[in-house]
Amino acid sequence: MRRTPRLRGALAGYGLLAPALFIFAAFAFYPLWRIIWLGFHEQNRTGTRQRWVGPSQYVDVLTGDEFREGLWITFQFVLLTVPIGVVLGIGLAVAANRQLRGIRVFQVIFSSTIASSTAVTAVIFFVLLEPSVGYLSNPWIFDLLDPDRAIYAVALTGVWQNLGLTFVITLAGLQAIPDDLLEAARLDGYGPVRTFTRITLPLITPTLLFLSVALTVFGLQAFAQIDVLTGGGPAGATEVVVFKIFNSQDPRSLGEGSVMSVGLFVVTAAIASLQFRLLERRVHYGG
Amino acid sequence: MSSISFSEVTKEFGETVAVDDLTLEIADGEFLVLLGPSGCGKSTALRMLAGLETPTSGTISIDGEVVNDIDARHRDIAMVFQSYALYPHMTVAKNIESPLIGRRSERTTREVRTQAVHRAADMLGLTDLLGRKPAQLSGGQRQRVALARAIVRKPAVFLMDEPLSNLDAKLRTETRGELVDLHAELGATFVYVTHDQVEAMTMATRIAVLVEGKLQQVAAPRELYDQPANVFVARFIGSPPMNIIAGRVRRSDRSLAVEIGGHAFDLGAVWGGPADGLAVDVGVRPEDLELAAEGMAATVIGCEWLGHEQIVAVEVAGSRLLLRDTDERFDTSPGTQVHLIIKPGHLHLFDADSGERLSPPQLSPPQLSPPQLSPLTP
Repeated sequence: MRRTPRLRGALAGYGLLAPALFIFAAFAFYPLWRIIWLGFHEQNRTGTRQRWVGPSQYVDVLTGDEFREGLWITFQFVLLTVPIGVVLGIGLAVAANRQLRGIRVFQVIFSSTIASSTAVTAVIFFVLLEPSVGYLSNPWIFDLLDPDRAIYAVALTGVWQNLGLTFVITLAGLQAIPDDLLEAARLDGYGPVRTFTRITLPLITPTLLFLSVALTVFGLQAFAQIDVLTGGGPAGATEVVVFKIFNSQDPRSLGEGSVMSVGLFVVTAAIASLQFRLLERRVHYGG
Repeated sequence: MSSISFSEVTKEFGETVAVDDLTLEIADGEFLVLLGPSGCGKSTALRMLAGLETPTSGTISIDGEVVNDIDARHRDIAMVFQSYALYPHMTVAKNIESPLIGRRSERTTREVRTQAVHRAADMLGLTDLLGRKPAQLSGGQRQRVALARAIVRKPAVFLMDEPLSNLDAKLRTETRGELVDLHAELGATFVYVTHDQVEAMTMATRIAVLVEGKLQQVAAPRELYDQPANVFVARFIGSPPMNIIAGRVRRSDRSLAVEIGGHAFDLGAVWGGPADGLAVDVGVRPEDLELAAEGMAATVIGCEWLGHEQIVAVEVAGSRLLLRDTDERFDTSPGTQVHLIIKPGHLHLFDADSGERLSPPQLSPPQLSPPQLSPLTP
């Protein structure tokens, strides 16, 4: 008898969790399991039948040139977008974090890239970078036709796309710093630069940690701007892992694509946890 | 060596006038307390002195030099914030060292800095805590770190913005004494903001009382207590506050008296001020009212026993008065009829309209004759 209210409480709890659990199961857990499963199989031409091929498919694909190349290009993209993106975001946020008339207008403009879809952004940049008429196209840096430089043009789009998010989150981090700390720094004789490096920057490191992890994950998963700008070209020079996965939609290569998906998942998880571990040592969580 | 001078300083925030035409001289080595209720502009005055706010008009000088246009970081000032404003990511040692790093002109070697940090930490008993972060300290310890950060340099002026308000009562009492010692030891000019009259009375060499941005009175604690410039100051200083009763001046050729509730109280001195029949507010401190065998009739309406004394609330002619009773000779249970006398020479007279003090400040207390209580003859 004493258990009844507890049991009822538990049932109510699970009842409330059920919708979230269902959504996770349907759209996260099942697909993940399915993709791991597909990685162990080959399919026929129409995808109606699967044949178990075992772990060898994982070994072959993950040690193969295709995956390694894709991963290398992906890393280039991440290294080009994340540090520059974070630095630019901090710069904009610091510039806009002041009490000036009309500053809101700039804050809205700087955060607006959040509201633009990646595809639209990519189309805009495609016009800007178009080899014959684009304003930004030039043979030294941004050249969509040069296999060595096409990645820069793609990364430019990525940086621009993420800037709004970086700006908004960094601005929130800056505004969470109590005014009297900055005033104390002024009375301690700090100039703006010293205040920034000694007070502001250490206090927003948790924000920057979050941003660098989030931007890295976005970078590892980048697809739309590559599809629109280069279609993976020229000569496969911008074929990141996700693009290669996208290209293995044919039922016969679905197994390989699935293996690459799982591989990218593992790489992403590993990098994110490594970042947390490395940066956490240097992060200050105020209290 | 540093004197401070506010000259006709006004600070407006939009429509609000935070500080209104403040003129105040602070001498070198003084411990000046800016006292007032919250929102009276005392913190704004302090922040203007620190350089964190700019006056709307008027000038602020330190050592005769106008500092209006000098940024906070170039003023030779240390400040203890109400929140302490410790840098959460730095150790106690780094926090204390911080002012030594900021100023390029004062840059020194690491050894000199470490010595200075240890000296300051030693003065405030923080030596064992130097390696900790602020989050690992108690409120009192944080307060000390904030103080240590202020004294690590030798600034011209120390500013303190309610530094004790986040401490518990016992620690506050202890720290008050320590601040007085610190002031004596450093010999520097302290400007201290508080709403707590006890802090002001116990630490200040002079107190400046501010209300609604206006300076009411600047005086040593004793003078402030004995000769408040107006009703506000009279009621703000002293606990329980001064009783204020409506009365009327009665003067003749020979005497000056004040009539309260049908009784005339001789003021014992004749001076040129108040005219006969003038409506006044009469102030009497609770300790200047005494229960007696005869005198003004009153009814006890309440009593708070505090051990060494009791605060008795009585009603006289429709006014509620508080008195401090230390000997408990009379029954003070509620409803009891009692009689009151006013200790001689302890009446304060204020103009009923303006609230300004009427007795000339240089007037010595009237003669110490027994209270002249006589039924009023019309």
